[in-house]
Amino acid sequence: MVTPPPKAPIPSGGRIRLIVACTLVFLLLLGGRSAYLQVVQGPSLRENALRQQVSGKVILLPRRGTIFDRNGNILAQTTDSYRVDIRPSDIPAEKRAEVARALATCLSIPPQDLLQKLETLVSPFPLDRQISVNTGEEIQALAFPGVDVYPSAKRVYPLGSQASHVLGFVHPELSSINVEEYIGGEGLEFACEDLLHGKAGQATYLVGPTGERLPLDPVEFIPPQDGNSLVLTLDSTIQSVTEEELKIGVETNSATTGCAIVLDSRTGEVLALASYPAYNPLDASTRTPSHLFNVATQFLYEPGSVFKFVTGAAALEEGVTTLDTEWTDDGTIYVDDWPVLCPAEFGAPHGVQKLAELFQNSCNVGFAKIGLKLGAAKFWQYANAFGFGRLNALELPQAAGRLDPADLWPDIGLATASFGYSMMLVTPLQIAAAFQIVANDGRYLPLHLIKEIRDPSGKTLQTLSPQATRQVISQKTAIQLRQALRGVVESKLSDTLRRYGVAGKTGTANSDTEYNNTTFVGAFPADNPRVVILVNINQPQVDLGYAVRVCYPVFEKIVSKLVDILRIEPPQ
Amino acid sequence: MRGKALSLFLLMLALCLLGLVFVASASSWISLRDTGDSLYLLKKQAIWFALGLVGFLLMFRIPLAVWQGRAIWAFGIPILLMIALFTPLGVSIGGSVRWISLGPLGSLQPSEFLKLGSVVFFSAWLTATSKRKRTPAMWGALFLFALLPLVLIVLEPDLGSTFILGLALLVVFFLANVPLLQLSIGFGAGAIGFLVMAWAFPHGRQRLLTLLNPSQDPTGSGYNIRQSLLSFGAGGVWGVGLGLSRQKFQWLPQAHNDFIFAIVAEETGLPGVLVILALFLFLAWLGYGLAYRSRELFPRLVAAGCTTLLVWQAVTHIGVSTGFLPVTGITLPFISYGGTSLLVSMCICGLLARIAKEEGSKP
Repeated sequence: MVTPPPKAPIPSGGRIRLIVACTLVFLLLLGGRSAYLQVVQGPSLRENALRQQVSGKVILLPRRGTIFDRNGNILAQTTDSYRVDIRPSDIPAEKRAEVARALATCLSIPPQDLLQKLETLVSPFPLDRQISVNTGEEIQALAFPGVDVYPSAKRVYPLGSQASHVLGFVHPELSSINVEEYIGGEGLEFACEDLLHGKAGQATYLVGPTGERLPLDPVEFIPPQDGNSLVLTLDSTIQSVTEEELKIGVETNSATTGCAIVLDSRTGEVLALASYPAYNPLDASTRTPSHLFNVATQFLYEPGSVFKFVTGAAALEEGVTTLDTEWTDDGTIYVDDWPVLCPAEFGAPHGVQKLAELFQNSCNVGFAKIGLKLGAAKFWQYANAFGFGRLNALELPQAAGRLDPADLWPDIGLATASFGYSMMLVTPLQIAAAFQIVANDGRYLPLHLIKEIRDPSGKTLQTLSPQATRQVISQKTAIQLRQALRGVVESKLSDTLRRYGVAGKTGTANSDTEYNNTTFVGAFPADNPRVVILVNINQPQVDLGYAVRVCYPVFEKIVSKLVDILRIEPPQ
Repeated sequence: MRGKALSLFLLMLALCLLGLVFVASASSWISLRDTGDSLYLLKKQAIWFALGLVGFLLMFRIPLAVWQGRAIWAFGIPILLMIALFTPLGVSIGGSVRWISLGPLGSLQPSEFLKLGSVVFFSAWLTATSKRKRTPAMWGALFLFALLPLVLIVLEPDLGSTFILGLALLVVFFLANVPLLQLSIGFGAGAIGFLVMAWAFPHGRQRLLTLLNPSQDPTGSGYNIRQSLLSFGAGGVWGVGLGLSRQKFQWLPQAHNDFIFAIVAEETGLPGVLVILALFLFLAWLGYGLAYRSRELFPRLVAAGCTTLLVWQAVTHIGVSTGFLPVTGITLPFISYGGTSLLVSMCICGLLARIAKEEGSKP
């Protein structure tokens, strides 16, 4: 149907056309303008938009691995915590007192000290790096200007200072601006840094104008890889007993330092390793150089008489002596015009002695004669094979010690080296390791602290049970040597221990002070050893501060408890 | 409802539903941040949409003759509401007093009603005087009366709405066959007055200067426009995807109302932009078409004026967001968040649909 023309046509139809044309033009212009912005200028605008929308790279810190003892007890662990940083210049002057009071209450610190810091410091400083989750959230809720609370991680050592020299500690290090990573210092935390640390990830997030993270997928997200966990050979019960007895031993003898090592003689596993003085891994004020010093692995000394078992082992193996060969001590002998003698207060000269008596009397003259007969080259070869003068396989930071090349040894050097003086500097760990070879029927087994490496989910990655790699002395020599060493503390043994027998050697070594460094190392039970225990106590400031009076009691107490802990049966 | 009226209704429905979708996206962050409920503003907008449907049907049922006869009410009541703004009832947001608080029900923006009322009132007045010879005194009275709503709105201050109403009144006067000389004098003087007013408001002057050089102060007065342009660029040709705008997270502070078109562009790209433009072009074609085909002056003036209110507000909003026009806080009709704006826009559609119905039913 055709629309009828208006009955009374009103004017201004043309004006409407004009308006429609204007509207059309503007809408087209806007469409063109939009298209121009989105298509032509799109890439550069998009780049600018992205530049403002994304955060800087955020470092995602990995969680450091856990350290367990052999029974699954946690020795070191990383837990959630918070970190509080202060930007003093952003706290209004009139709010300082309030901020100081509130923070001091939360953190249990004196408010005056904090207030003084707020008033005097200008640049930002970390107030506390490791506060509990509860406290962190409490402070966050206060929402003070200039007080920043970040999620962080805290390393905890549930057993306190126990095994501190084995575990070590961690300290914060700036890995990038404002991101602190914890790096191991000392102990396994240091030695196994690569295993424990994990790998940092990174992320780039979309942010709003005030820097808050938007609830959108991140632009880039590489998750952190948490560190692996370690299961140690250490037994925290034995460790605790060992530390306790060592402490008593050191303190009752007014000594300066000491250490005690307990090894499983059949596997080379370290069951306990204690050094005195210990430190609290979490308390930096206890981490002085003298506390950090690991006596067991780092103390270098001339061992003295305890070394005689090495001389004896070499001589037995080389046929220089048998158990029945007789050695005469007629008093002082002269080697290269230097006198070699036994101190008169022990009943020297000792006269005619067999090997067991030489050990029992700890006869310097007798061992000097054996050493001289053995010769420097052979002597050096055995000392080296027993592990002196080189790094031990144990995973801890340690000193390698010294064993001078044999061709430099004068005869007097050889003579005194035979009873543990000159030509060498050793660590207590090396003595224990050497004695472990004797206990293990002459086979060398690397000492180790790490039993198992687990990935962050707890799955076992690697089980470490090193196998014997070489025979240092024959089984026969080892058995004979242990037989000869039984007499050393025979008279001291309690009735219980006498049923088992102890093969051991004392050593009271002169040091460059008026006091001695004393050592006792023993295998238990003597015939079929389960454990090797070394006790070293230095500078005992008591009368008659000999190893047998200073170190042996510690050994005895430890071993008595081990009988129960390890359920060691007496030989039939 | 048939023919053009039905087309208008469906067009309005399409725009409103798109609007709810974009309000849902653009307001979610602000809602969440301010109330903890990311749907808070969407729910409010949905209630106003329901009211708008009632408004549309009401307007569709009221005969045009009622408007023509009682135009003074349509004009007078909003004027009274506007005056109420200057009493303690007025709510000030961002330095302008544009809202009357309705307590828990939200707030009302009287200037939206005044825009519609003014178009109806002056259409009726010009229709009533079209048969007579107009004297200079009558012109004076007309222009002075036209100044009243404009001045009230500009005092809020709301330069954007003043501009839109001025434009709509210009269209109404223009189509009432006012001689071009008088029209030029009247509206020329008004335009100059407007510019002087704009210049007098510190932020108005700043915004005019910013338009000329948006990059001069990107963190200050140029901030909004810069962020809006970045949204267009970030969306690119195809957009980042519905609901995935990043600029809505307060980079663009008025993402859900004054700059919603930038979010449309960012999320849906060029296709989204073209769809919205096409819908408003369709609205212009329907609305101005009604005016063109009207056999009487009153429906023609009302249709053209109302169409101008909707379409040119959209043009202004889009012009602002693309950096064509100075920043004035006005909504994109049907799309932006804003209860009164949505209600009145839907009422205007109802009025246009009524005109379509009456025109269609005449022999």
